[in-house]
Amino acid sequence: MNFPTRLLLLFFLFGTLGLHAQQVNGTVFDVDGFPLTGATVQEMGTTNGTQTDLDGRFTLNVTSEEPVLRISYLGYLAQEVAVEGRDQLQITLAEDAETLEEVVVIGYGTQTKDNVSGALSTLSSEAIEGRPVASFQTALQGQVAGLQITSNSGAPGGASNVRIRGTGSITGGSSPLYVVDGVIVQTGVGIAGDPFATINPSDIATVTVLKDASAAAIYGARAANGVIIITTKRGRTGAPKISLNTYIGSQGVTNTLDLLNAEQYRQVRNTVAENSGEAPITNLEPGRALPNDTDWQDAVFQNGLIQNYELAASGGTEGLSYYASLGHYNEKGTIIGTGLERTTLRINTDTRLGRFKFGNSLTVSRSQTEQEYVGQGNSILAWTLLSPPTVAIRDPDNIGGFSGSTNADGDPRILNPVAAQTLIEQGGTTNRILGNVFAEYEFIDGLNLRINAGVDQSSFRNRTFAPFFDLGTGEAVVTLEEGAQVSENLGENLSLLLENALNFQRNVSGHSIDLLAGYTVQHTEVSGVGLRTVGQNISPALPVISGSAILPSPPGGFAEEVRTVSIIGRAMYDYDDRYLATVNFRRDGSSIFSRENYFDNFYSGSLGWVVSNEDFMAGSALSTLKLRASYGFLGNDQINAGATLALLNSDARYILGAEQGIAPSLAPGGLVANPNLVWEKQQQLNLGVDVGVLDDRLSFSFDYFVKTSDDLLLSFPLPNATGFTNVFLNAAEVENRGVEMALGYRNQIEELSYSLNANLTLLDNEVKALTEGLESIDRNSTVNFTARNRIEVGQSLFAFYGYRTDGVYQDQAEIDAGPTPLGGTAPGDLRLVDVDGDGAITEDDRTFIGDANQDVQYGFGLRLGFRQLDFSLQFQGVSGNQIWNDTKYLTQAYFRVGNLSTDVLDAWTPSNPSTTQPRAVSPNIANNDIGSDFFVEDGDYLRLKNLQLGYTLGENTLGALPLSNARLYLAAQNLLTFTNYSGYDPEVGGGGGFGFDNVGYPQSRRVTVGLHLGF
Amino acid sequence: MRYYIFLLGLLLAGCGSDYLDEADVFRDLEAGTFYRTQDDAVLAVTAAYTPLQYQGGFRRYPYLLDYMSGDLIITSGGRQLTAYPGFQFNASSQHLVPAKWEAMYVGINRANTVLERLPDIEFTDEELRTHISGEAHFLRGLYYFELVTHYGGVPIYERPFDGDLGGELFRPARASAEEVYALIEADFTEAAASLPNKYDAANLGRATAGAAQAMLGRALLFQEKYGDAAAALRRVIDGEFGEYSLVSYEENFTLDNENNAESVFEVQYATGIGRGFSDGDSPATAESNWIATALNPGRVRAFANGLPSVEVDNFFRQYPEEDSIRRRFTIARPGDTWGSWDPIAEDPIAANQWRDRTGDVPGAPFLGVRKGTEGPDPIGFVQSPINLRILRYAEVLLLYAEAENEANGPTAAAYGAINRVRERAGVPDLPEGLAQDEFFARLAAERRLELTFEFKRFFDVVRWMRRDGPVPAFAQPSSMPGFTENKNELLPVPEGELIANPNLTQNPGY
Repeated sequence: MNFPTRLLLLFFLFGTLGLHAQQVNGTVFDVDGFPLTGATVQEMGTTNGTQTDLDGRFTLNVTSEEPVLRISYLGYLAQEVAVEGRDQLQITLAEDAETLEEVVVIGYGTQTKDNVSGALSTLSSEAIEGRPVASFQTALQGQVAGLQITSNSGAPGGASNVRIRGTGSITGGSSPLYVVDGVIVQTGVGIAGDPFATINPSDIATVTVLKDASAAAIYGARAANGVIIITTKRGRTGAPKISLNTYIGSQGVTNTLDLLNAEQYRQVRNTVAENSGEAPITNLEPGRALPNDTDWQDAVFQNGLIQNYELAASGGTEGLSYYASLGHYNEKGTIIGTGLERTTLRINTDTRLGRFKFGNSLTVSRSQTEQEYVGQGNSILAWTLLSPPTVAIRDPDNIGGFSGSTNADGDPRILNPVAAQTLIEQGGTTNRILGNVFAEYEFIDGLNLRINAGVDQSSFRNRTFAPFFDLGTGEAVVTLEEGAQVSENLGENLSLLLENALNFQRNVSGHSIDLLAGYTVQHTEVSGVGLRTVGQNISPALPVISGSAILPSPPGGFAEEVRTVSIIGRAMYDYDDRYLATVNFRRDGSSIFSRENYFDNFYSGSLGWVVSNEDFMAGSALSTLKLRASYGFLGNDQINAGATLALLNSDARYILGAEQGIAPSLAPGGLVANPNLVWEKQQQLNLGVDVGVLDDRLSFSFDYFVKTSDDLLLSFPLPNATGFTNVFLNAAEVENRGVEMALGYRNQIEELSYSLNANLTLLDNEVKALTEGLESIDRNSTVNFTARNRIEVGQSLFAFYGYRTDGVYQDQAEIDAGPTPLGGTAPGDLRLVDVDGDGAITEDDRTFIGDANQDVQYGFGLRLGFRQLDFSLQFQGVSGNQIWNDTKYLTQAYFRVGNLSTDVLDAWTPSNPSTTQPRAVSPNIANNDIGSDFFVEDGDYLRLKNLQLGYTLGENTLGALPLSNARLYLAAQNLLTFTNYSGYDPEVGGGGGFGFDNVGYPQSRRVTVGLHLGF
Repeated sequence: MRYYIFLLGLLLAGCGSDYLDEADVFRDLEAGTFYRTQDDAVLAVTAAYTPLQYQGGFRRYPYLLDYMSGDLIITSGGRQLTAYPGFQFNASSQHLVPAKWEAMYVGINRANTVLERLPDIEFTDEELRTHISGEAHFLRGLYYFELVTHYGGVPIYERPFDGDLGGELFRPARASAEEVYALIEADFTEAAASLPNKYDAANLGRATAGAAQAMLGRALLFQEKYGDAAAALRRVIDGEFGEYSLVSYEENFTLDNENNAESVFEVQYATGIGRGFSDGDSPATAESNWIATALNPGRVRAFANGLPSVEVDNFFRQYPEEDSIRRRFTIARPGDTWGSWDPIAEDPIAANQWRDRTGDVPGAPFLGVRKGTEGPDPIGFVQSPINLRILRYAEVLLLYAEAENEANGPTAAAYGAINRVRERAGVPDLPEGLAQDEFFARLAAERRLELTFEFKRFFDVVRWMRRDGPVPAFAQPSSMPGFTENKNELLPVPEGELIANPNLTQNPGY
């Protein structure tokens, strides 16, 4: 083309433009009136187009005769606007109805809520926001039917016991699988406590709980305990938003126990001594002055300060969006010397380029805890309860400045809890990097490949430092007999995940299909070392591992890998939003098992019928009616990684030689290897119905499930004569059966909007079978009690086992009337029931005396909004469960010379014929301390879990301030508890077993004020 | 097309079993890859010794036998152990009843593992193979001897349990005591033939041929096979298994002069490893002697859990000539000199010498266990390094004298053996011309004078119940408070074991 031709063309073009050219200016808003940045504005029928600027404005020279603009924006319905000669356009885009339709996150994808045929529950950040808690699990309590969350400990950063639809394993793990932004995360991270204490709850966008086999099956062998999928907040295209959220407040214990004061203590102790034929305790002899009246609970409990600061920014253009946040949380516990400090950083980004998508999630955190010192298995509270009120807390003459119980006080082996929490440092630090990078490519419309690489790496350092101190007891400090000591455990957990998934979605005349095929590899590695030194050079001047030790323990270490490979497949189909079907397949291989049993296959499927979408339902009052059914098989690989191996024990040292040195050795371990172990399996049936009326303002859903866990690994106790202790077998079957109901109602009366929600779970747990030849398994024995649980066919996994009592013997004649009691029984002792009717109380009279299974779990809440005020309440409760109350044992069984509950003031005497409180006597004389229902109590409670009151200032009010909104709020956690339980707290997870109140760290009541600012 | 191949590669990367095979678990070595070299065999047989150091082996619970025999009375320090004085224990009792059973069978499994693996292990030193085999036989014999004397006939394992729940080793019935003794005799005989008479300094403490032969003699005597017992023990005395001699009496119970010329077999202990309150085999397990702390009457790092009974003290008071050596190093009395307690005060609690648990038993005189304890200056807390001599040459002589007397009457050889023990104790020879039963009565007294607080008395009293002839009153079962005949001769089989193995039967009376 020569120059004149080009010029001619240009002229022609210009001429055309000149003929029709018109400049159109406009602004694009969303329905809330916010400008949309980066919306595409295109003149129909031409290649002519532009994008809106930061203020949503655009300028376009249109060329057509009757120009029509198409304005599109991701997530919004595109709109076509005829210019009709106007030069100023105001365009408001409505959100895409499909986007508007609630989308739920499912494994490896999303699904519209209406098309879900499995059993799952979702919660948005709204359910978590504003709650002054360290981990999101605490915030979820009582909000999801079928999700049972029990705090194991009220300690800062304390872990929760989380179960979805009950416990389905005996020796293996029963915790759900956690997936954060597509990364399967490790739960056994570093510090003893909650792995999710490393994640800032404010970063969480949604939580999805996959409950039935169909929903969870995409995670196959990892999913038998259900799956909790967490997505974190991501940026959205639009103007940047910056927010500052801060709260500050205080926490205290919900309850203290009524214990004896010094004078009462003397009186009761002297009665015990008299009844036991012992001399009175020297310092409690009648007539002696009692110089102290110490309230140990008051000294150990404190009001702990809670502070939280978060700064977050998010935003994006059409090609790039981001979310970033920085959080700092600092909590002092309700017991002195405990706390949690956490700093978290999160950066999530999404990049879109044509058919490519690329994104990442990354959180980096550092958590530090100060913990209670646990010595000889006794919690600080146990020592607190034991400490005699007649003993002073402090004595400046002793090294360290504290006092303690001496022989003259009855027992020199009681640790002063204030000294322990003041002088001993016990804590841990965990650094964690959790994140993923994903890339997605759309080959053709609807066909996507997604590659996701994730990492979860945490390193931890747990440390105990005890300096030398003296409590003036004339003996070494109990639990620290060897003197000053330092112990450290260092380790690393690493999980690497690579996932490839191909997804195909197509909708052809009402037939909608969604196919998924994928392959995943996961490599986890846990390693650590432990060191402990004891010695005189260890002091506050040198509180670290050093060579000065005089009594070193041999160092220990380990490194363990688990590898998992899986092939996944899923097909989802719906026809006309009426008939729904899903089938899942997963083939899993895990290195935990022996080579022959590496792999197993898991299948599931579900069907749904959206009756309300049928023509014949048109005009019906029911806005939603959906029937769901699912059935499938899942697996549990949370088993002992060494169960299939004959590991040797290298700690079997002996001493040999003239120099009497350590002779190393290698011995068979306690476990006989069983190479035939296979995956624990589970079958689950779920039947559900969702109902909505009044345009879904009132919604109700109901699910019935039967979850049968089979091939459960059982640690089978071998006769000691074999020289081994146990072997793992696939040998038991447990069924969890129940119903879940959720009810919601929302409405608006003029300016008052309100919503109500309630959920209820009924759960029944039953052992259906044990291996042949094994009638029962006893477990959870302690120093004080023989086995307190018995696992037996027909009983719950959590059934308590012991003697039944029937009041108190009032006189010798009653005892003589039979049955023959245990030796030493006298009037005033508990009357044990002769269950087998053989005329004598024997071990065979032990029976089932309670069950820790929470038969009923429920929650309900209320939200109100009135103009700028918002108010919410949320209650949570359980019912039908019992607790084995070690607090009662500690304070009413007289087994040590320590303080007691005021309940013992009502102890039986000939002149006080109590029928509930046995006589005050040493357990060496009587048997009132035997494992019986005297120590078992109902654990029902109803708790006001959360209360919030907020006031929001809008842009109008804020005026000149550079704020888009501001909310001032008051939040309270555990404000009220209704229970008859006599211990500190009816919410007991219990280490080792469920339903045991081990006098652990109780829950706290928290009250905070917060401020949320949006810029 | 190229990138499709790349994606396919990603999809198949590491697919399958080979990838899973490479997951390493390093928590401990694994049996499948161990037991290859002679070094492995040494490590394996050393592990068979460690149950000697279990609480139920010889670390802690043997002194409960002296609560039973009446030589020890309990204080509040022993409040967990109140089932043992007066034979109050039953099958569900804790401590000795289950712990002895468990510890001994752990040892038997380890010895059996050695014996099973030994033929397939490569040795460059074939003599070492023979020695290791001998050690395993010795230890298995010793563990079964402990079992048969504590519980009677017990299930016999001559090879390790292999995990087969359908197999005969899963829940075997009890063998008879005779069958167990037959295995013990065979093991000690094999061990005596395989083991060396002594070791180099590095291996001091391993079982010797003399130990095996002496244990064989003891096992024969316990079966009243007097002639065989005398013959077996004679071979030890004649020096066939190396030279033994008597050292100064107190050196048998101190840290100094361990593994000395009198020591036939002793459990080796050291301090400074692991934690005092520990058991089994864990990184934290101590390799120390707990009894030394448990019975020490002192106020520093001591428990004073047991005190010499008035009865045993009165027994010694009949023999004032013993005060200079054997009584003094067995029972501490006020007025004695013991280290920095010079002397032990009339009221050692008031004098801040002894822990006030010693005064817990109303009316009891101030007496302390000196034998095997560390007195005023213990080295560690529950961490004593003093070895526990479980068979001394002095006892070999007494066992021989007893066997000879029962088989052939009070011969010159019987006199010679007992008098060697008496001479070392600084007391006159036995009078000449005693009748067989008179000699036995003197021997029974001699055993008590020599061996008190070495935890032998309960077994002596029980086996002498079977004696064909009179037994002096102090050695009759009535001298053990609370003893019930036809019941307390044996401990009950632990309840847990009866539950785990329904084919077991309980001992009479329990």
